[in-house]
Amino acid sequence: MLNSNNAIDTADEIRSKLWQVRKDNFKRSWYKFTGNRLSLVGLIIVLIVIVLAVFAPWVTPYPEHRGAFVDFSNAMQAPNAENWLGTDSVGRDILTRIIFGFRFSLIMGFVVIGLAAPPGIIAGLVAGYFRDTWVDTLIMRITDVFLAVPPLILAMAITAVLPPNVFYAMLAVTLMWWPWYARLVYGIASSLQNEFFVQAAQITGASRSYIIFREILPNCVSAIFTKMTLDLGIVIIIASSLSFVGLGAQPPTPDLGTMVADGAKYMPDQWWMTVCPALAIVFVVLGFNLLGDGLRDMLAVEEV
Amino acid sequence: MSKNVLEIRNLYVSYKTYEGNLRVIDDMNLEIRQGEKVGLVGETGCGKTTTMRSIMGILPKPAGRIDQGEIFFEGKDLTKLSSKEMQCVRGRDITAIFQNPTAALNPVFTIGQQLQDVIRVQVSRKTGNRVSSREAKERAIQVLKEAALPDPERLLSNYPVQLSGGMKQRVCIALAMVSNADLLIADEPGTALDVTIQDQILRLLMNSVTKRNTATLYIEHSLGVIREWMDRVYVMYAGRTVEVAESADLFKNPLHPYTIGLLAAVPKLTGGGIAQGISGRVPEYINPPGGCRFHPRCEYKMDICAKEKPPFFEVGKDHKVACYRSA
Amino acid sequence: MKLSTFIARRLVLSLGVLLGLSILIFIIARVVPGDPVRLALGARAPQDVVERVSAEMHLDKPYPTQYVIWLKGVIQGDFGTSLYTRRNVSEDIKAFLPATLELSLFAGILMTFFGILLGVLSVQKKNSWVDNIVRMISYLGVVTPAFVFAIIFVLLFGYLLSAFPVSGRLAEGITPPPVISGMITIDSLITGNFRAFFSAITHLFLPALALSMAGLSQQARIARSSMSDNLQKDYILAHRACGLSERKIMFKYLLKPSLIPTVSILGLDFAALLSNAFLVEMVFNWPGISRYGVNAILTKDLNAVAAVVMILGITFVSINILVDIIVAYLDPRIRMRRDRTGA
Repeated sequence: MLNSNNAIDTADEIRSKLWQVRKDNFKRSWYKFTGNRLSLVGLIIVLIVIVLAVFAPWVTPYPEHRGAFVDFSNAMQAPNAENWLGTDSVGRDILTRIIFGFRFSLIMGFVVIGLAAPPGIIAGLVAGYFRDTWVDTLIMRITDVFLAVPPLILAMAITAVLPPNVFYAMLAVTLMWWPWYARLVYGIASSLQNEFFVQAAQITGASRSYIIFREILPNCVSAIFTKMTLDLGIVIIIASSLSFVGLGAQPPTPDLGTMVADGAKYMPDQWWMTVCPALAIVFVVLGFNLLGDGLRDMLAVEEV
Repeated sequence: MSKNVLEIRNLYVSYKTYEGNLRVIDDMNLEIRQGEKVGLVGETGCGKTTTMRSIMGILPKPAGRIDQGEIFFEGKDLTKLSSKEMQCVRGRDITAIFQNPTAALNPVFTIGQQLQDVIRVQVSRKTGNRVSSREAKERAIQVLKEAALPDPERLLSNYPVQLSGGMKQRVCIALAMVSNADLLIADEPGTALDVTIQDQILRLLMNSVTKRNTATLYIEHSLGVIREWMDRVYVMYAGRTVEVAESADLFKNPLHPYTIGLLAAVPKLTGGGIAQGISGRVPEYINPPGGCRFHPRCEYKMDICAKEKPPFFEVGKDHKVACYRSA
Repeated sequence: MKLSTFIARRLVLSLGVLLGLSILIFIIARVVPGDPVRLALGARAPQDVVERVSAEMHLDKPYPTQYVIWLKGVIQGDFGTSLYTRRNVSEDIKAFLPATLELSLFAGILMTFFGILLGVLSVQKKNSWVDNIVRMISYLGVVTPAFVFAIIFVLLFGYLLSAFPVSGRLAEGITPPPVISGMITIDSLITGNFRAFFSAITHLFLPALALSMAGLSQQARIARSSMSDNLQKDYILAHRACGLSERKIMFKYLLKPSLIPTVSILGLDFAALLSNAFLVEMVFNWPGISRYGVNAILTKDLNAVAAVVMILGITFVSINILVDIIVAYLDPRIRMRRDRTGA
């Protein structure tokens, strides 16, 4: 970086200039983000859900309803002043269970992505760095196989043999998720291979792990982060689909999918028992999707 | 006024972006007479392409906007026309050739399809009759031949990706020649091509417009082309035409400081060392300098230059300068 | 590379995938903790019955042998016996697969047609209220799981408005047409049984719509964004400069290049229809193979599970190949490129 006097900046000056550029970029991105109303809505929804989930035991009106609780005298009540979303077939407050359901879904989402992303990212980085060698081919063929299999079918197959519960369902989803991260990172990493800064680092003797983790990875961060946000929504859909058919969480765990399934038996008279958790699912996923889209728009402009 | 094919009066065009209002075209004035070849010279970013888009009514919506001014084409004010009326003008009365022939042709349709569609539209608008596909095909072959393209029948079934850059540009010229328009606007047609091909294309273009007596607005940033072919030349800077003269006169006797600087910046083969650039940079359009937009970079600037925009002063036959120095 | 080489490579890769899948599913099926036969027969079944059934199913032989036996059977179309229904799994498949295919096909048609139509509409009237409504619907389509749509449709159209039936494939009392393809709509059309056809269509509509919503929304969004991007391209500008009418530009010159990304996603979405069919089948009581598969999972009916996975896997892979071929055909640039450079 040259200033107008044609002298070369000191390291400190470079660092402070970099910071200034980063701050400006962030300000511009934030301006763009907040300018898009939908993304703000997404952010708000996500924040609401997270807060509710974290503080569930203190925020819900009937926290003891989340587990095995019965009160048949109050069962199947329509939404009223005491139970804002009504009660289910054994008398539990639906609103409370939905909020605990949020907690459950979020945990599942974070766990699955937390488990699936790192191996996928590393695989993608390694394959991208060693592009056009046997390492690349091997890793990419493995991901191809995983990707060619219909995802839900793989999950079903796995849950087939293991007892149906949440843990195994999450395992199944994780196993089919990591290749997507590998693909994503591989795409970015391999295109960066030809960039000068990678070659410059190699020439100056940087070790391979340095290049991979300190040069290439930071360039992938925004794409990874965006994908993670969108993925949270998708994982929640898949998890609730699995538990809807009985392959995931088992009663009495408050999972949104199982609640919809249970409530479906009482259609159409006690419609709230199935409609409320169903709409809750839509609410959560909508939030993450809007947020993810907003992030994608915001971060994509930066690259240009 | 009716002698002029095109007349732009006091045009102001701006783009709305989230960073603010980009006031790109700032009080632009331009005239083209019948059959005349007029060059428009300026560096990248001075608004040449925006000018062309404004004339043809294809500014990007909703960002681009004509704020003020008139564009008279054969007496009609184009800025007042509805989009449907403008659509009729385009292609029939005003045609255009673009910079990048690869980008200007639709990659998933054959040359024949694209050409014949244009022919159908243009001919049926002019004559009011429908055009049969046989007639369209014949006309397509004819127009490709005029553009000096070999084996036109086979070309019709080719996709753009199968053609070289020069051939693609000829196809674009052919497209523009379909209806005998009164005005042709060419936006740096040779820039994307090799120099030798550039010369061929130029000759083809110039011969075509001379033969048909089409008025031409030739937008270019290379001075050599302008000097050889143009009747009159406008020099544009930061959204405004700052000098206009007959081609030879401009090169012999430049008067605007920007023009002087531009001509001095061309390296001369006859010695004299590496040329001197013009110090400073093209202004930002969000907050352009007041008065004459060139004044921050001008060697000869006076106090009034920063305050008021200079009007055009006549300094000779067809030679006008927007500079207080020539008042 | 030439189209034929391209196809050949894809086929070989897919065969490898299917083989891998078969091994995977076999390993999973045989590594079940616990005795699958006993699980299926119940804890009170006498030991010799258990042993007999085990021997019948070759469960006493070493694993590789079991795999080969199983694979041989699969290639010949024999998937073994279902522990649940007690008949040949292949018969079960023959009974249930057409129903799912019919559902997916119908959903696919809805998805493609309406998805692209909505996308085009949206771009034409960009930023108008039509555009905003379409964008909202397509957004909701992506974030809502298919079973939620199924339930809402059941409540709305089945009960509240009573416009459509909510269960089964045909109304009671109507004789189904003879089984030609297994798809009631097609069979009844072929045999001219219009009452059956009409009943079948009304029964098909809600589940197919619920299933198609996700794909429909995706198609609309992609069509819209792809067309919106291509609107900025120079050739559209050039078309306008030549005086072509807006309508012609929209529906011919903009649509074709914009459809290319749509088609590749279409394939994925179509395959996703198959995967998600079980959600809708459960709600609407649709006797399809996905519901059969879920049942098999819940009852640990391993032969059935393996069969369903393989069948769905094969269908999925075939669709992917087909889509790749179509895309290569549609985009002449892909066809003509010899070295991977160019626009």
